[in-house]
Order: sequence, then structure tokens, then C-alpha cells
Amino acid sequence: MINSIIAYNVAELEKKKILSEAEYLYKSKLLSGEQWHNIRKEYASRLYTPSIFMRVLLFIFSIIGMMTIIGPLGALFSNIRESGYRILSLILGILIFFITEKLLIKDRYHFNSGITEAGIYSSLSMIAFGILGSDPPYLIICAIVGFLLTSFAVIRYLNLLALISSIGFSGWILFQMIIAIGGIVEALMPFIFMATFGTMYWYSKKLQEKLQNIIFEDHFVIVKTIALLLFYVAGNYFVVSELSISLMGLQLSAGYDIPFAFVFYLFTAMVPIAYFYWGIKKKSILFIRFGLLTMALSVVTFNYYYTLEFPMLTVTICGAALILIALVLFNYLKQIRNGFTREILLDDKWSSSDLTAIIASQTLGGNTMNVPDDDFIFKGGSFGGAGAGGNW
Amino acid sequence: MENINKELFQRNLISDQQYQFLEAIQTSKIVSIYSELRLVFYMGIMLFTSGIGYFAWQNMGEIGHLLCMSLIAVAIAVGFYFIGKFAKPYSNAQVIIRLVYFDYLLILVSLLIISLFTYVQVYFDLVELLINWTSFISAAILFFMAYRYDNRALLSMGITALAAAVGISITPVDWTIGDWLITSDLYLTIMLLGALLLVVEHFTYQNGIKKHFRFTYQNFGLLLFYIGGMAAMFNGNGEWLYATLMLVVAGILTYFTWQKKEFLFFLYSNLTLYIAFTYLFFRMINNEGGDLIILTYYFPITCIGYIIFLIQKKSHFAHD
Repeated sequence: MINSIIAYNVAELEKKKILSEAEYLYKSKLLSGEQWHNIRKEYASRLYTPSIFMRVLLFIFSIIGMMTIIGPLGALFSNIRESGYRILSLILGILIFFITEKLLIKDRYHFNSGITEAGIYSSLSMIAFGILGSDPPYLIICAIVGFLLTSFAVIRYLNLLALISSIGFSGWILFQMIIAIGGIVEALMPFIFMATFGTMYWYSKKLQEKLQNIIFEDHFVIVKTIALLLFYVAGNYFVVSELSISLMGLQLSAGYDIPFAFVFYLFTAMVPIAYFYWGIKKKSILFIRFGLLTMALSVVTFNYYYTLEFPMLTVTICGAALILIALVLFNYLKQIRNGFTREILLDDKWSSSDLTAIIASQTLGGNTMNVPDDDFIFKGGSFGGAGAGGNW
Repeated sequence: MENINKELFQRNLISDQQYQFLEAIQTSKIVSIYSELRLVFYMGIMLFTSGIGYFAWQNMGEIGHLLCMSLIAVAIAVGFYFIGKFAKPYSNAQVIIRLVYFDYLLILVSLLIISLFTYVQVYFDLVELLINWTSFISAAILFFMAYRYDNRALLSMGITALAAAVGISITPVDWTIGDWLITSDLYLTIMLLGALLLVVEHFTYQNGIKKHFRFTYQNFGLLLFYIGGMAAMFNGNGEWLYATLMLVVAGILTYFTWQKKEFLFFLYSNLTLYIAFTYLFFRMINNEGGDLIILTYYFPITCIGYIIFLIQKKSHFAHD
């Protein structure tokens, strides 16, 4: 059944996945050249995916090409009204869709080649314009159409960007529904969102266990990541109070706080710790990373509301503490303890030393060396913190 | 299929030992927190150096300049002690050091040296004397550290400092704020700096000096050259000249990067080539009357034609 839903051949996708996994192991120097050679021969996949930069190039040119087709066509039918353009866009979208599916995916085995993504995105946006027009009557219809189209792209083409947007659309639908109901439900909005994303995490975990297929690995990582992040964000005090003021027009007089303020302070403080604890207990690197990330966000949040008397002193002490913690752990984990190690087991998939170098150079300074005037000579010239201080 | 390791093991493509190891990672029996620890360390350095710099600046009168300078000097000395303990002698090839946080230690010490240098300069009233050289000296320090201890992050920082020295900031953050290019002299400076980096890269690579620095040089060099040229094309005087220059250079580099399969640089060159070509094309045709219709057809035809050309050549850039 799964074969008829997904546009690609599942066996080929599996081969591709194994191949990319093996390549990653080979680059981490865990496979010998001979083993890698054998695996390459064994799992040679017909699916065609160029290297990442070629994909970007192909994507850019394809998207410009496909989106500008509407120009000459519009010139041909220059005296039709908006409904005419909508029909035109719908037809064109469906046409591009079939070309992508038939010519590229079925006949030429393109898989994430940059052109396929461009084809899917442009055809779906044209179809969406065809359905919605330039001025849809209700916002929620936009969200629903967006959700349906992106979900389709996720299920049929396993597209990751569509997955992210479809989660975004589902959140938007939920938001619109809550606003429409109003009253007590509206007041409980953060809790509803937390419950939703919590359930999303839990359900995706169950679904992953049920599906048991390697080709969906990345998708589940993305769903879980977004669910965990939004679970935290929905309960974060800063987000809740700012959004209640700007989106729902909550008026706060001096001395009053948002409803359930205490609960949100508690969430802001506890969720990172819970993530971190869970990560260490279950040895889940995803939770540990989220623990670190949300902890940083929580510190920023609390700092925003309760500024200490010496902010820079706090920064310095925090920095020194982080350096110390890292050094202590580096030494403590020389041996494997509790299953944790400081050594690299596999090279990180997304890191490259060239990229790290550029990021480090952009964040640590070295670029703010031109001394502008005497007053700022130490701030700008000496340490080049490049905005690091402002974040904390 | 649910388990790649098992699949590979059953087909006899990996050994039993490898299988056990990979399974241990897969089932989280053993978890590496290498990148997380390094990230924490990195954040610590960032906060600590900016915090202490600000702090020293604020409390100058109370602490005393000399004490402050000596404290930084002591920190540098301690840093160098550790660097000396772990560093290996200079070599033209890549030097691999087992200490996991060695590169960040280097960055910390280099930043402290630069701050000490600035401090000394202000304290002894050397600002006016050295104002034009500060950035060059910072860049020189960074370049020295980068080559001596083989660190690409320091090299990137050195290049950015050098760019700052010639009067531009090559931080993405600043590009978005805008206002980073003012005079047409500056376009030329940027392009020359880019070209200089490419030339340096070429000669050091030819002579086998730090071959792995190549990417950093090429990346900065090409980006500076293309962005400078493109900005000149749209804002400066003599746009025809710049556009033609961009067209020729990007064309030549497109060919060579295609040959060498350096696809990131192929991407840069190709986009520049297309923009320069489109610019010249649009300037060349008459913008009035019937010619306007050509513009409507230009983008779809060129893009789709180009895509078809690339697909024809797809075996050349298949992922391998």
C-alpha cells in the first residue's frame, strides 16, 4: 500500500538511505574503503540526486523559470479578469504537477534534485492561488488549503519543507479556531497549544515505532524537534505575555500580570530542566540539545523581566561558569561514564570544519577591528564581541 | 526495512565488531556529547571575553590600567603554556591535535592578544600614530596564529580583519543593515581584495603550503570579488565595464569550477554570470515598444533552457 501512496519506489528509497548512511560512516572513518566500495555496488540506486550546491542552483533556476511562465501566458490572455487568472493558474499548476510527477520522478528517477522541489512548490502555490484567489473571504480557508496541499506533498513526495509548513498551517488552524470560539477557550490557549504539541511528540513517537521504516527517519526527527520546541515556546512566559498583548489585545494595568502568570514562570523554568533530565536519563541527545537551547532561552526570558544590577558581571560569571563546566565535563568524560563520552563517535552530519570556521569568525569578532572613535575603543575594538553581550 | 546496521551485517558488508559498535550507537548505549560540550565551551568564551572586556573598561579607574594589562598578559601566558603543551611543530600539512578544545583555546588566546594590543595602544597614546595600522596588525596576529597553529577559524577571522582594515565589513549581519558600500573606490577595493585572496590561495596551494586552507580563501575571495563587482554594476559608475568584467571572469570561472567539480564555487560563478548577462541583455535592448515583450519571455526561456542543459549533463555532477 505504501508503494502506491509514495511517488517514489520504496525499495529505491531504502537503497538510497542505506547508501547515504554508509557514506556518512565512511566519512567518519568507520568503514574501510573496500567496504564502502562493496556497499556502493550492492546498493546502487537509480534515484538521481545531485550534490547539494547543484541542487541549490537547479532549484533557483527552476523556480524562476516556472514562476515566470505565468508572465508570457498572462500576456497572451491579457484581457481576462481575476477569475480568469485563477483558472489559468490552476491549470498551469496542475500541468507543472503532472510534468514533475511523470517526466522527472517516474521517467527520470529524480529524487530531491532541486527541480522536483521547485516543481512541487511552484505547482502547489499556483494551485493554491487558483483556489483562493487574491482575496479569500476567511483567513482560516487559507490555512486549511495550505494544510491540505502541504500534507499532500509530505505524504506523496516525502518533502521535508512541506512537512514543516504543514505543521505550521495546522498550528494556524488551531489558533483561528480558538480565536473564533473565544471566551474561556481563548484564555486557555497556551495550555491547548502545549497539549497539542505534547501529543504531537508522543504520537509521532508511536507512529515511528509502528511504521518501522528507515526512509521516514528525517521526517520524525523534524516533527519531534518542532513539537518539543513549540511545546516549550507555548509555555514560555515572554511569548505568552507578548502574544496576549499584541494578538488578543489584552490590557495590562500597572501592577497586574497576565492570567496564570505563575504557571508560565514555572513552565519557563521547569521545561528546560525537565528536558535536560529526561535527556540524561533516557540518553537522548535530542532532549539534551533541547535542554541546552531552552535553558539559554529561559535565561534570556528571566533576564528580560528581572534585570540584575550588574548585567555585564552576570555575563562574565555565566561565561566563566560555562567554560568551567565544559572543561570539567571534558575531563570527567575521558572514560565512558553512564554511556556518555566526550569522543566523537560519528562526525556530525551537519558540521564541517570549514563552516564552523566561518561561523566562529562571524560571531567571535575579528570583523569589528576598525576603531571608530575613542569612546568605543574598548567596546568595539578590543574584544569584538559582535553583539554577544546584547543577547544576554 | 527498519535497521540499516542489521541489514549491512546480514549481507556481510560490515564485520561483527563494526555491527556491535554501530548498534551501541543506534540504541543509545553509548552517546557522544562532543559537539554539545564544545558548544558550551564556545558560548562560555564568547560571554567571558565580551564580559571581561566591558568590565575592564568600566572599572578602569579602580583597577588600574597596568594591573588590568598584566592580568590579560598573565591570561595569555597561561593560554600559551597550554598551547605549547599540546601543540605540534609547524608543518605545511594539516596538523591534527587530539585535545578536543584546542581550537577554541587558540581563539581565546588570539582574542586576548588583540585586546591587550588595543589596550596598550590606548594607554600609551599610540592611537593617532597607529590608527591606520590597528586592523592590519590585528589581521597579522590572526594570520600568524592561524598558520602557526593550523586553525581555519582564525584564518577566517584574519581575513575579516584584513577586510576591515581596507575599510569594509564583511559580516552578513551588517549587510542586512545596509549602508555598507559608499564610494565606488570601495567596490574596486573589495574586488581587488577578493582577487588578492584568490591569488594567495593559488600560490600557497601550488607550493603545498596548508592546502586545506584553500576553501576558506576561495570562498571569501570569490564572494568578495563577485559581490563587489555586482554592487559596482548596480550602483557605481562605469557599470558597462563592471558588467562585462563580471561576465568574462564569471564565465571563465564557471568553466574551470565545472571541470574541477567544485560545485559551491560553480554556483557562485554561475549566478553571477547569469545576473551579469541578464543585466547586459536588458541594457542592450530598447526598453520601449515591441522589445518589451522579449523581457516577458526572457526569464522562462533562459531558465528552462538552462535547466534542460544541466539535466543533459547530469552524469557530470551526480552525487558521489
